[in-house]
Parts: sequence; C-alpha cells; structure tokens
Amino acid sequence: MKNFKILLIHEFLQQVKSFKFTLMVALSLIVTVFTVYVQVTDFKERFQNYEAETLKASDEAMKAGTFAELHVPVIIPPNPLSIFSKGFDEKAGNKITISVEDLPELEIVAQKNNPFMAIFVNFDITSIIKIILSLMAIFLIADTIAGEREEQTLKVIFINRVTRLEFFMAKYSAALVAISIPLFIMFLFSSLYITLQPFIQLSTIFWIKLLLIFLSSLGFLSVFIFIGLWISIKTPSSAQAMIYGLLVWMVIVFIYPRLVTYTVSKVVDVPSSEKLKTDIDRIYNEFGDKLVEDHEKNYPKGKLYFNNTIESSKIGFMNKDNWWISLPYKVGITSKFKLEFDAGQVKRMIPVLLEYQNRMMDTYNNYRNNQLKQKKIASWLQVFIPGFLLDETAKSIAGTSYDIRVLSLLKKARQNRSIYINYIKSKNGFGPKYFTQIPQDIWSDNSKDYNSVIDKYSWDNYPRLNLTDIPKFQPVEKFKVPLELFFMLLINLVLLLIVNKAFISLRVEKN
Amino acid sequence: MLQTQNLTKRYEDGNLALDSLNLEIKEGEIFFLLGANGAGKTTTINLFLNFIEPTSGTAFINGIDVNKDPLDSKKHVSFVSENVMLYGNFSARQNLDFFAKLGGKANLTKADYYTMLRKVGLQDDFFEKKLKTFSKGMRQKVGLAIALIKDATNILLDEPTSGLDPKAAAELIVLLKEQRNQGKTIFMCTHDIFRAKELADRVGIMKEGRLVMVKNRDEFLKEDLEKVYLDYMQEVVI
Repeated sequence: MKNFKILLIHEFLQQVKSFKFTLMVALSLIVTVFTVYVQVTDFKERFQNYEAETLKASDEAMKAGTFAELHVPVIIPPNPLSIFSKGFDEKAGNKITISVEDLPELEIVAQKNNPFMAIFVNFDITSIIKIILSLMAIFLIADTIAGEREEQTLKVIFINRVTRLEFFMAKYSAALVAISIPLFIMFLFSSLYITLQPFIQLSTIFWIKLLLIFLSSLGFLSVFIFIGLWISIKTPSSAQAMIYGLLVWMVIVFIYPRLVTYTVSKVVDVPSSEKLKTDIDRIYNEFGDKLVEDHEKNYPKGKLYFNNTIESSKIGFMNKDNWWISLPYKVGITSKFKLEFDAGQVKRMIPVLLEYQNRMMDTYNNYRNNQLKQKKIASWLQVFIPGFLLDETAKSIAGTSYDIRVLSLLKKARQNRSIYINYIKSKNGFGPKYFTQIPQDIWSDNSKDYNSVIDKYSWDNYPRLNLTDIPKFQPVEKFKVPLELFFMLLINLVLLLIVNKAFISLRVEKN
Repeated sequence: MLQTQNLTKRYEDGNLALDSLNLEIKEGEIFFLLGANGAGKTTTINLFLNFIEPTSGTAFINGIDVNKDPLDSKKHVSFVSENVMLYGNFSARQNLDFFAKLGGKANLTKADYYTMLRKVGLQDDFFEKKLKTFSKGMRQKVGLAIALIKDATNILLDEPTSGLDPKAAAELIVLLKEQRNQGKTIFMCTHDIFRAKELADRVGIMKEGRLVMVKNRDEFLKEDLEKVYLDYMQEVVI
C-alpha cells in the first residue's frame, strides 16, 4: 500500500476540485439551511405547545384528589433529534392521559399554526442525506474510472507500481472523505443552529446519538460509493456511467421502496380502522350492559323515589366519543342509601371496568400488531435498500421510531397505569374507605332532601385522597443498536468484496 | 531491454491481434514498430505493460516476465500514450508531481518539475495553468514529461507525435535521441515513417498481428522505407 496515500490525496483533490462537487455541496447546503430553519421553527411551535400543556397538566394533577379525578397527563416533549430524523415524533401524538377511566392512547394536542410550514416539516436532515447526498455520491464516483479509462489516465497510473487494491481503496476512501465534507457541514450547521436556540436543551446523550446518526449516514453513503464504483468499472464511457448511476439511484431511492410499500399494502391484509372502532364499541357496550346489570341487581328496590334526576357520580367512563355513560339514577333514596350504593358499585364495577379496558387495550394492540406485520414484511423486502436502512437506523437512534415513540411508550403508559391503579388500591381509593372518609353524620342522615345533601357534600367538598406521593411517570429512554445498522454494515462488506473483485479484473484499456 | 518470446494475443471475439511475436530491443536502441491501424502495435504495448494478458508466450522487461511479476517490471518502464488527457483540474506541474510520486520520485522539487516541463518544450506560463486549458499538443508534452521524469530504462511510446506540431515533434526527436544516448531502450509504435527514418535504429513492420519485416538502420536507409512499407501493406499475409 505504498502508493495509497499519494492516490488518496490526489483522488480527494480531484473530487473536491470538480464542478459537480461544488454544485452539489452548494445545493445540499441550501436545502439544509431551509430544512433546519423549518424544522427548528416547527420544533419551537411544538415546544411551546408542550410547555403550555405541561403547565395545564400540572394544574390538573394538583387538583386530583379522588380516583376518578386522577387524570395524569403525560406530555411528551419534542425530541431535538427529530430535526435530524422526524420519524413518529410528531405524527404519533404527544399526550397520553393515564387515568382509571381513559385508555392510555397517544393523542395530538396541538395543530400547526402555519399550514404552509406543515408541508415541509417531514423533510428532515436524513431526507436530505437520502436524496441529495446519495445522488451526489453516485455522481461523484460513477464516471471516475470510466472517465479515466476514456482519457487514458488509467494507463498512465498503472504504468507505475500501483496495485488494483490500493487504487480501489484510494478511490473509495477519497470519495468517502469528499462526501463526508457536505455531510459534516450539514450536521455542524444544524447542531450549531439548534444549540443557539434558547428553548432547546441538549444533553450529552444528544451529541452521542448525533454522532451515531452521522456515522450511520456515512455507512449509507458508502453503499452508494461502492455502487458508483461498480458502475464505473463496468461501463465503457463516463456518459453511460452517469446515466446508469442515475437509473440505479432512482430505482434504489424512489422506485423500489414505493413499489414494495404499495405491493405489501395490497397483498397483506390489515383490518381497517373501522373494524377497530367497531370492536372497541362492542366492548364499550358490553361494559355498559354490565353496569346496567349491576344496577338492576343491586339497586335497593322499594325505596322512595325523588322526582329529581341525579346524574351519575364519577363512576363510569368515557366512551369513544367522550360521552359519559351515565347510570340511570331516577331514584328516590336517602343520601345514605345513595352513598352506600355508589360505594358498593364502585367496589364491584371498578375491577370489571379494568377487565374491559384491558380487553380494549388488547384490541388496540392486536390492531397495531397487524399493522406491524405489514410493516415487517415491507421491511424484510427492503432490507438491502440503503435508504430504508438509514431511515430505520436514524429513527431508532433518535428515538423517533414507531417501536420506541409509539409501542414502547404505550407499553410503558400501560404499565404506569397499572402502577397508578395499584397505588389507588393501596389507598383504598376505590372502595368504601374512600366513602367512609365522608363524615359520619352523612351516613346517619336519613333526610330525604337529597339535593341539600348533595349540595352540602358535593363532589368538590368531599374529603380528598392524599395523592401527593403518587409515583411519577418515567418514560424509559430505550436505546438498542438497531438491527438495520448491522444490515447496513453487511451490505457494505458484501459490496466491498464485489467491487474489490471487479477492481482486480479492472480493464485499463478502453474499447 | 525489451524482449518477447512467441508472444500471442487472441481476444475473446476470436480476433488474433498478435501472432507469435519474437523481438528483442537492446539498451540504447530505438525500435520503431510500423503498421496500419489494427495491426497489433498497441496490443504489443499493452502486453508489455501487462494491461492485457497474453494468450501464450512471454514479454520481458529487463529480463523480468511482466506477467509473473508485473509490479517489479513496471519499475523499469515508462509510457507515452496517444492523446492522453491527464487531469484537467490540475496544473501541468501538479500532474507531473502526482505521476512522479507514483513512479517513486518522492523528493523532487518544484524547480525539478519546471526543468522537466521546459525540457519537453512547454512554455513557462503554462506550468501552473490547469490542463483543461491546454491544447492537444501541450497535453502530449506533459505526458512526455511524465514519462521522462520517471527515468525508467525502457520507454514505450504509442503514436507520440500525434497532435504535435512540427516544431514540437522535432523537439521530441531530440529528446528521444538524448534518452537513447543515456542507454535507454525506446520502443515506439507509429505510422510516422519520416520520424522512423530520422531516428530509428531498427524498424519493424507489423501486419495483421504478425511482424512481417525487421530492418536495421543501414538496411532501411539503403532502401526507400516508405515504398517497402507500402509494399508490405499490399502483400497478403500467408
């Protein structure tokens, strides 16, 4: 490898001195500046929404004093790495309410202020790398050997003691170093711009993850350099090499991934969202029936009825349209009976409610698993597509993948919900004890003037459970080295061997 | 010294480009290989430079089998190609610097490069200008400078006068004479019978892959080389 350094420096200078390099660096930088500006503006908007929601959420949490009032809103802060790899950071929603009556599902709490900006927010730094830098990598290298063969400089090189291996390694390394220049500038500019924003706090982990995304991007571009080199070796002229390079790039970046997604969506059947809605409705209705059944069975019959209608207390749960399922309380009872009934019903029906909610959550999970099945088939069909691998790797590292940002978060929310329910149980919050906190006089108050009792001991005046030591929701920072990264390395290794073999039999002489 | 033993090349399409070439060119000798297009001249050079593999036979450079030890053989040879473009975004000096380093001349200075560029007849103003602004002849001069700066014992030239103006071609002849006087072996493939008469120690005529005639200087000066050449070109090879 005696001549490697000489060849490397020469190849590198040749690349960076070319007009196409200057043009593509300028293009990628212009797009980067625009993208980062849009992304940071979008991030700022999301961050402001997050802050407002967090403030509101802490107020709500402070008010909670009963199991039914306990709605712990978990607001997910926007992820600064989403500027680099957007993934599901925004579109999955950023709020989960953990309560006894609500299912822990992600919801979107804010709409875009500027719909024009919304058009561009899905174009992140990874997209620039996937589209512009990959094209740049192919164009930089595709004509290099074909061109040198055409111009006979290949002969002048190989008249010297230059081995094919060192020539290949120099070509590859120089192109990788050259392409890493715009990549580095893109990352540098983006991170500097982000750092200067007062509303973005960056941790050490951010920088480590950013470095990993940078390295993954280099791995991605390396694949295109190998492909470009292979095309360059196999084609007789630089013009043909450029055309083949462009065709291959179009197939890899645009045509094949879209074809796979379309075909899989047509071939692999996934139940519709309407089916999910119907299934959830059915479970809601079944629970409603159980409530009525309980009421029929346990309501103290034969008591006096008042004329007024008393609305359900906080028992019950929100149905899919956020309507309360109310219990039929056209009753005439003493406050004592009413309270006893309420207490009893809570005690009986909460476990039933939880059971039905579990069924609903399982239904949601099955729906998502079906979607995932489709996604996995599409993934395996794209496992050798570098753009797909970069996308998935970057999302996994950034923490914006479907797996991390949706599934793991919901799983964690479900676990936390169990923790909260157990916490409330430990406080006897679901049972008679909660109601026994009501002063004894009301239990002995046999007055039929229920309205005055309700006014006196209205919900707001009920003694509160002390929920101040409720465990905090801790979304776990999940990070594992994504499988796609290994595939990316594997593709690089395979291409290294293929291109090296092609270099060994490299034809120096033009046709 | 350049030598071939039954050197044969048949391409994949069946074309016999070179048929049992036996040739020896000694140190301090200039050998001109004449022949029409497709006669096998460039194939001979490509075989010497190990750019293609022989079907049979052997080519030697300074006694080294180029097929068995290509890297070692390349230490002893330099090459001037027809219409070499070199690197347009680099200056003449930068091109020379790159190829000199590849040729193992690591310690040359800018002054050394300038001297060599002057020697091949390039004007001083163009030393630091990008090659993409050069004419064909000027590029050829840089190509020649690249070949000479390696200071190899054997120089192979493939149509080197193509694109050169008469003055530059005359300068090339002077340079090649100088190299011969230094003991270099020079092997030139060309159509240029006039340069051959002026410079060659021996002349060979190649037709359809076969070396049909070799004459030394005394022999071809006695005859009309142009007529001999044309006669051979018209003859049917058996």
